[in-house]
Order: sequence, then C-alpha cells, then structure tokens
Amino acid sequence: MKKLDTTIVVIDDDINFKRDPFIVEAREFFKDVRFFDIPQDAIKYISENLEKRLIVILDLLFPSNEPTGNEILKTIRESTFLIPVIIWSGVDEAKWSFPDLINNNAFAYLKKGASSAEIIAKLFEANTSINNDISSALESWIEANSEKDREAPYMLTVDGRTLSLNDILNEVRMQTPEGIEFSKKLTTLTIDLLARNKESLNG
Amino acid sequence: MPEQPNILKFKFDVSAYRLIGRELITDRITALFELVKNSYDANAENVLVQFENINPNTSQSKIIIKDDGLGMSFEDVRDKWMVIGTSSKRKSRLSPEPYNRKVVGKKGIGRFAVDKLGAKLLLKTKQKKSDKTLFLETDWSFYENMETQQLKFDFSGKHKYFTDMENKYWFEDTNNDSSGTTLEISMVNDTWTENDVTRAYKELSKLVSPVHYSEFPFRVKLNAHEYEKYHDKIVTSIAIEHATLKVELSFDEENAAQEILTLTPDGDLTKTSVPTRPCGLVGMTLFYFDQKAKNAYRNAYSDEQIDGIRIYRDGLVTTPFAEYASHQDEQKDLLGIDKRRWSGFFDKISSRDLLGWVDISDKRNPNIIDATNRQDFVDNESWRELKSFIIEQISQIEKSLKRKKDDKLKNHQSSFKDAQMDITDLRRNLTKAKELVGEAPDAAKIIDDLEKQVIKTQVSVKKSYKDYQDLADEKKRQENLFFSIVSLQTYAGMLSHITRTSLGRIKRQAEFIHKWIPDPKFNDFYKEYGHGIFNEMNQLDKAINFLLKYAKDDELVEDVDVKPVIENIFNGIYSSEFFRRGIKTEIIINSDLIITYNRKSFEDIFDNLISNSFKALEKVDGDKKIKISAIVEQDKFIIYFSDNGCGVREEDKTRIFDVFFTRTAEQGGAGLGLFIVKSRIEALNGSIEVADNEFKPFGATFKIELPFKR
Amino acid sequence: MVNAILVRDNADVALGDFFENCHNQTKAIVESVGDVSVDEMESTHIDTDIVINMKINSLHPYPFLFISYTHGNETALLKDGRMPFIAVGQNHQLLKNACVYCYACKAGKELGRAIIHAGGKCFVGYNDSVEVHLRQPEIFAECATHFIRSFSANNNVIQSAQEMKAKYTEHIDNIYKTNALSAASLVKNRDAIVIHGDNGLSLNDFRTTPNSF
Repeated sequence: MKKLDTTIVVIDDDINFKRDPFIVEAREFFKDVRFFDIPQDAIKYISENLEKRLIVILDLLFPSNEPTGNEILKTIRESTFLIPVIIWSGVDEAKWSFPDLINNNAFAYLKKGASSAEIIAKLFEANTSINNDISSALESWIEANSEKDREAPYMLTVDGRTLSLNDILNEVRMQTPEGIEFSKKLTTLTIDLLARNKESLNG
Repeated sequence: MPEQPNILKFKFDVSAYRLIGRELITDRITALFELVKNSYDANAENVLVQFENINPNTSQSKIIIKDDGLGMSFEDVRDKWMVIGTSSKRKSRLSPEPYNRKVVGKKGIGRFAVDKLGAKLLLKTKQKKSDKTLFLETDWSFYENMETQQLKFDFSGKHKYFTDMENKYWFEDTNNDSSGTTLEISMVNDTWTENDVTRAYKELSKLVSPVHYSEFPFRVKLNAHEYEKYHDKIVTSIAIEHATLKVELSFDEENAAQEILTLTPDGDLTKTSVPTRPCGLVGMTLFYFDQKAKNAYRNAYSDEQIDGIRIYRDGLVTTPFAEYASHQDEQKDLLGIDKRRWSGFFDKISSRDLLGWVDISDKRNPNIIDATNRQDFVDNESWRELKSFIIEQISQIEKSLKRKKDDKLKNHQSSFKDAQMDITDLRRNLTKAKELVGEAPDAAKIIDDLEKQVIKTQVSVKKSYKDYQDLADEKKRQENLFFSIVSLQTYAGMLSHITRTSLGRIKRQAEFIHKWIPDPKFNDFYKEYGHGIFNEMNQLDKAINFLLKYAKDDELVEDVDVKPVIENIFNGIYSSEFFRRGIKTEIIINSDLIITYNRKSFEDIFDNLISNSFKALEKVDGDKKIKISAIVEQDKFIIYFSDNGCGVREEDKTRIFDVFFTRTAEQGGAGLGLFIVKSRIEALNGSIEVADNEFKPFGATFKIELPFKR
Repeated sequence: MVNAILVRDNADVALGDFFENCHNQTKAIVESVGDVSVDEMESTHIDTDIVINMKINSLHPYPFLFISYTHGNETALLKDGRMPFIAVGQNHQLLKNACVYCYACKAGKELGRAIIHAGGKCFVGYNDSVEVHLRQPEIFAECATHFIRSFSANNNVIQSAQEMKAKYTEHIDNIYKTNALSAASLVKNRDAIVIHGDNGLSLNDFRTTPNSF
C-alpha cells in the first residue's frame, strides 16, 4: 500500500514515546513521522514546513516551565488553521478548558490509553479532512507557484487593494472572511465545471 | 643611567568612598556601635553620646561622641584616622596595658561611621602626655558637592579626586593630663526622633555587659536634652522582669569551682559546684519565659524581643553578637539552641524562649577566640565545651519543665482515677445504705436522689476523662499530620497520569506484537516491546506502591539522627557497591541534626540520589566521585549531594524532578527516582534543587534544604 | 449615424491601465463599424459631472450608446473609486434614450434599474463586484469588451450578452487547470452579468438619420 503523502508531527515531553508502537505503525502508512519533546523545536519545524501536509498530535501536559499544550496549539494557529491538531492527553479531560481547545480548533481528542489502532484511525480521519477541505486545496495550488510569482501582485480586491498570492495564502490559512471567500469561489468554479461536465467527481 | 620607567598611580574617586561606606555601615545604629567600640578599644571608661538639636535636624544639629580614652597623637591621626582601610585585621588583638581589652572595633571604619551620621566632623583629641589638643576638620558635604559637580561637568575643568581634598588641622594649648577623643558631628543626615534615640539606647544597652565589671569599667551615657527621658541617662541592661524562671550561675576563681544546674529527684532545679570546665570559668544568667510570661513581657516592653543568649567579655559584648542586626531572624544561632529542636519539637526550648548572658573574660577564657570573619568563634575545644556547657544548662531547665508537665499530667490522670474510684466507692456505699434503710420511705428517697446525683457525676467525670484523652491523642495526631504529603488533587492527578501513560504504553506494545508477529520486518521491535511491557509493569508497580505508601499517614515516626544514618548508608550499606564501581566517596557532616521522620523514608532519599549518581557516573573515565556535605545556615540544615558524572542539562534542571521524566531510559531509568526524592523532602517542608556543580568540569550537585521549624 | 460616448477612468491607480485597454479595444471596435461618432471622456473629464452632463445633453433627444469602464457601486459610477459622476438621484436620467454598458462593480443593481425607469432603452452591467486578475488582464479585458464586440456585429442585446458570457466561459475552461483562482474570478464576473430594459434592441435602433432634426 502506498504511503500517504502526509507528515505526522508528535509533540510530547515524555521522550519514551519516541519508540512507542503507534509511531512505528504510523510510519507504515504515512510518509514521515517526527517526534519532538521540546515544543519550541516542533513549532519551528511546523513553521518551516507549512508546504507539507502536516497532522499534529499534541500532548496537553508539559513541565511547568514550558508552554502548555493549549498555548502550543494557539501558537500553531497563529500560522495556520489548515493543520489538523489531535490533542492527546493523560490528564482527566474534565479539568481542561475545552472552550480553549475548541476555539483554537483542535481536530480531535485522544486519551493516552488509546490503542495504536485508534490513534492511526484518527490520523486517517484527519488526513481525509485535509483532502476534503478546499482551503487546503487552494493552499496547495498557491504553494505550487514559485516564491517570486507568489510575491508579485496577483489581483485587486473590490476596494482597490492589491493582493499577491502570498497574501491570499495567508488569508486562506488564517481563514479570514476574505480567505474563506476565496475558498467559496473555488467551490463555485468546481460546481460550474462539474455542471458543464468539464470535470467529473471521479477525477 | 637606567631610564626612568613610566608609571601611573591609582587615584581614588569621590563616589568610591561612599560605596564602601554604604557597604560597611548600613544604618545609624551600627554607626554608633562602631564609634562606641572604638572608644572601648582606646581604653575609655566613660563614653558620652550626646544629641543636640536633633529634632528636626537643622544646621544646628549635632551628635557628639566623647570618651576619656587614650586619645590620638598627630601620627595616629595622620597614619590611622586619615587612612582609608577596610581590613578588620589589627596589629595587636589587645588594647594597651593595663586594660588588655580584646579589641572589638573594626579597623578603618570610624570615618564611614561618622559619615553615616553627618557630613561635617570636628575631631578633638589629646593624649595624656601631650600639652596640646589636636583639632581636625573634615567636611563631607564639600565632597558631596564635588561629586555632584563631577557628575554634571564630566571631565571638563579640574577633576578633583577624593585624595586631593584638603582637611584643616591645628593645635590648641591644653595644659592638663586629661586624655580622650571627641567627635563632634554636624550637618547631621537624619532627624533623630525620640523613637530613634530610644532605639539607639536599647541597642547600646545590649552592647554593654549587664555584669558589673569592677576593675576596668566601661560606662556609656546618653544625653538628649530635647527628650525628658534622656538626661544623662546611663546605658544599662533592661531590667528583666516577668520571667518564669531565673537562673544565676557563678564561679569561684580561688577554688577553681564552677556552678552548674542539676535536678533533684523531684525534678526541681538546683545548683552544684563542680571543677573548672575546659572552657574556663564562666558566669551565666538565664531567664526562661513560658507563653504567659512572653505575653506579659511583650506587653511591658512593646518593642523588645526575647532573643536568646549573648556572650560578654570584659565588659563588652563579643563581636559575633555585636553586629546590630535589624532582623531577629538574622541573628545566628551560634550556640545551636534552635538546631536541637528537630526532635521533641514540643519539649525543647528555643532561643525565643530565653534571655540571658554568659560572662567570660580574656583572662579566664583565653581560648574563646573571635573568628576573623567576626561572625563566629574559632572552632576549637574551648568553644565547643562552652557551647556544650550552655546547652547542658538549658537541657536541665527543659528536663525540669518536662518533669513538671508530666507530673501534672499524671496528677490529672491519677486524680481522675481517684475521682472515679471515689465515686464507685460512694455508689457501693449508697447501695449498702439502701439495703440497711429498708422501707423507710423518706430515707429511701434521699438515698435515691443521692444515687442519681452520683451517677450523673460519674458520667461527667468519665466523659471529661475521655475528652481529655481524646485531646491528648488529637495532639499526637496533629504532630503526625505535620508529615502530611501531597494534596489530594495532586495525588489524583499523579495517579491518573501514571496509570494512563503506563497502561497506554503497555497496551500498545502488546497490541503491536499481537498484530505484526511474525512479520520479520519488525523482529527488533518484538524484542524491544516484550522487554518494554515487562519493565513498564515493574515501574507501574513501583509507582503505585509509592503512591499507596504515600497516602497512609500513620507511618512509624521516630527520631532519626541524620549524621549516623548518612554515614551508615555510605560506609555500610553501599560501601561494597561503591568499591565495585570504583567510586570514591567523601562525607563532610560537621553539624548534627535530629529529625522526626520515618527512617526508611529518609534513607530512601539517599538511595535514590545514589542510584541516580550511579547512572550518571557509568560513562566517566578516571576518578568517579560522590560527595555529601552538610552545613547549618540560619534556620536551615543544608545538604549538598554531588557527583562528577555527566551532569544535568540546563533545560532539564527543573524537569528532572517531574514524574516519569528521564534521560536515562537506556540504563533503565524510569523517571521516578528524583520525583520520589523531591516528594519525600517536601514532606519535611524542605526543598531540593539543582545547584552549581561542585566538581568541574562535569558533574551534578543537588542542594537539599531542611528547615528547623515546621 | 450612431453617437457613442466612451468613458474610462484611465488615471485610476490600480486599474487605470486596464480601463484604458478596454477603452482602446472598444474604440477600435465601434470605429470599425463606420458610421459611429465617438465622444471620449477620460479621468479628467469626470472629476465632476459638469462635462458629462454637457456632452450628453448635446446629444438629446437622440438615442446614443454609453459605454464605461470605471469603478462603481450599486447606485453610481465612480471616479477613483469614490466620486460619483453618474448617480441615482443626481443625473441618472441623463441616460434616457441610451443603450448602456457599464463594466463597473454592482452598477447593475440599482443604477441600471433606475436608468431604465428614467427612460433608458437598455442596460447591460454587473450586479456584483467584478474582479480583475493582474496576471492575465488581457483575458479579463477581452471578456469585458465582448458585449460591444458582439453588439457592433449587429447582434441584439440579449445575443450580445450571451456571447459575452460564452467568452467568459471559454476562458474559464482554458485556464482553470493552471490558474484556478483566475478562473474562479471569471466565473464570478460572468455570473454577475445582468440585463435591464429592452433586450431585443440592436445597433440599428440607435442610428439617427442625418436629417432628423
């Protein structure tokens, strides 16, 4: 079976997880699995690899002098909303502020006691959601352009602002109203093409 | 001819002296102390401290310190007074004949003391043999202006240094054989309110020995005409009233006899004469205050504190006790009174329960020597003996008090018992009486009523006794509760984390093997996970055991003598293991400490630290070392545990104590050891942290602090 | 004789060049018809509505063509994106008797309707924002000018509008694989096209005879 072109990023302060069975298994299904026990390193990696398809598994509880899981999630979300983040925790869920997790768009929640099968299944779910998300598609399409092209003025907005592809990319990642608008337009295009049989769903 | 070498000389900047001054003399009272000490060192018998026009402070304000000591010659002024030095060493340790006082003042501090009080000084001094009085005028305010100017104008113009300043001096004829030095300080820095003067008076009174020293007396007088209380007031010790107990021990020099405290068979205190102790003959006066007495004392002397015992030598307080400490807590427990309170918390006297003084002299006790750092005494046999002697007397008082308490308790108990017996007897008698009385209705009724009353009383007595016992038990339980551990919430959190993490891992490892075997691709993993499950189970077992033990609060608690326990661990239990691994150990524990704890739990701490060191030392070539040392610092007992292994990474310094954190997974580390250590230490209200490593370049040092008071 | 008024805001900072391009294409198209008299107006003329009022008034009461490439909103055509030079309630009735094509955002919504109500013959415009992608402005320009291209070839209003839509679609199909965003914008533009008034009129209906004074 061909491996999915997605990189899994695992962030957990317990270095024993590096050899955990679920990571070994995940490597069978996904292109790459990276483990970070220091949150800053993980955030650096993510920000330098936004072009890759990424899914993050994030522990909630870190030692007192590190940022909390919630804070790490927030930091990731400062760059993009398009990476699914699965919260993985051994702490009693009732204690944690779920609104924070929801507002920061956690994709799912897994308990530390989960089996490898459960974890991998969740990863597949997350991967599919990236597939289905037109914003991700748009992101990919923009990223396919060269850096120089992405910086050049690309289009004008109604109020006369000039946007480059990078600007659009940012709006899409941050899911601003403008960003969402782009995704909507794409959807409309897709529907138009499908309606005129220019494209089919099995393509 | 050889060429003249080019040389440069250091110059001394105006601001530099202020910096030094601020370091050495931190407040006004210390300044006064130093000046009075200087007078003492100059063999003065009388010192007058006078405040003029000091509230509010104006250009007319003056502080005058006048003594009748030896005075200074011109050379003395030029070569000593005018030389800035901060060394505390002196050429001679004794003042000139015939006084032979052990010098107490710090050398070179006088100027700074004066500066702390005021900006302008007129020094007048005369020696006995001279027929002239020497006057010297220094004006710091001039220097201050210099300083401000230099700040404003940078390097332009003439840059004057402190050492360039000119101070006038002159002579005046004085044809008599008086001697002494007067310091007349004006341009006073602060207003001295009545409270300030009172504070100065109180502190000076501690300086001066309460024991009347006849041969070469030292008297201090305080004059502040603005305040009624301070008209030529002689500084003496405050009268000690309200004490629960007063003890006075003296000595007989002719017969080389020393008085000490002993207990009578009834537990009362009495004095006995014994031969001179190795520390020399010593006089001692002690006042003990129980809670009630403390309250009374505090009400009478609102500002005063009951702050332990001081040692006076030849009329003046000895230097380790002479530093004015604004905070009671900073007073060091030089005699080790509080240190002993680790065991028998409730039965030992602390330095807050005692006031008193010990009187020594250079002649009788020549080997009690002030340490050069002025904070302690030289650790020799004499000093240790003196401390022993003092503690011994205090112990006797404690024993006596305890005896009385126990007796009272027994009395209570026995009187309860007696009461019960009496009542039982009474009831029996009443029953008999009832039989005798027969049918006589009136008599029967009376006896009936009596009986009812007695029963009621019997019930109350029983109940009181039970309440009393419950109270005693409750006290015991409260003592045990001091060993309370982790809060319930944290406990639950720990449990959750430990079990879920561990169980999750075990589950996944088993799942992996089950799913993939016998696919040869993962052969290495089958082995790894197989071991992993086994180890994880073990760790889980250990962790749960630890948590369970921790949750119980009725562990056996006893007096644990720290020094021998540690020595036993190092020299006994682990000695062969150290030998096998080629580890050299060093134990430096000079003080001793007795704690009330569970012995096994205390040993656990060191078991884990040693185990940790083993792992760290595994890869070290060359000498492997483990060192444990302990010191007493103020109200803490501090243990340093060091090894010269691979050390602790900077970013890990706090994480290493977290449960399940480990960097030694390959060596079988599970991340529990240091967590256990920290939990146990915190149960003693202590703390542990990673300190700068003693062994360079690599190593780790753990600093453990155990407090005395809980 | 067909009178045509061509307006473009060629000084617009962002789209000036694009409008100028559309204008040039349009001018070439109408001039090739032969009997079209073109009156051009550019940014300097539409600072206020004075000039335009004058120009249009001079054509009354005869029918004429009005073609503009400017910014706009629901109720007005704007210079610089903010100054209305044809606006509802201001001077929209000027376009009575005209065949109007406005390549401007949203003008199709209110302005278009109002013009017909005031006597305009027909109106073709957009009822939503129109977007221009600076990477392939020629495509957008070609689509924008296609109504006139078709109308000048004697197709009537509705036919011309259809052809313009078809032109949009043609380009969409050409570029969506390589440039989805541009294609998406073309879709948006195309789907915003509206017609008001009599959509059966053609160029002939706007010819005046030399001696109809």
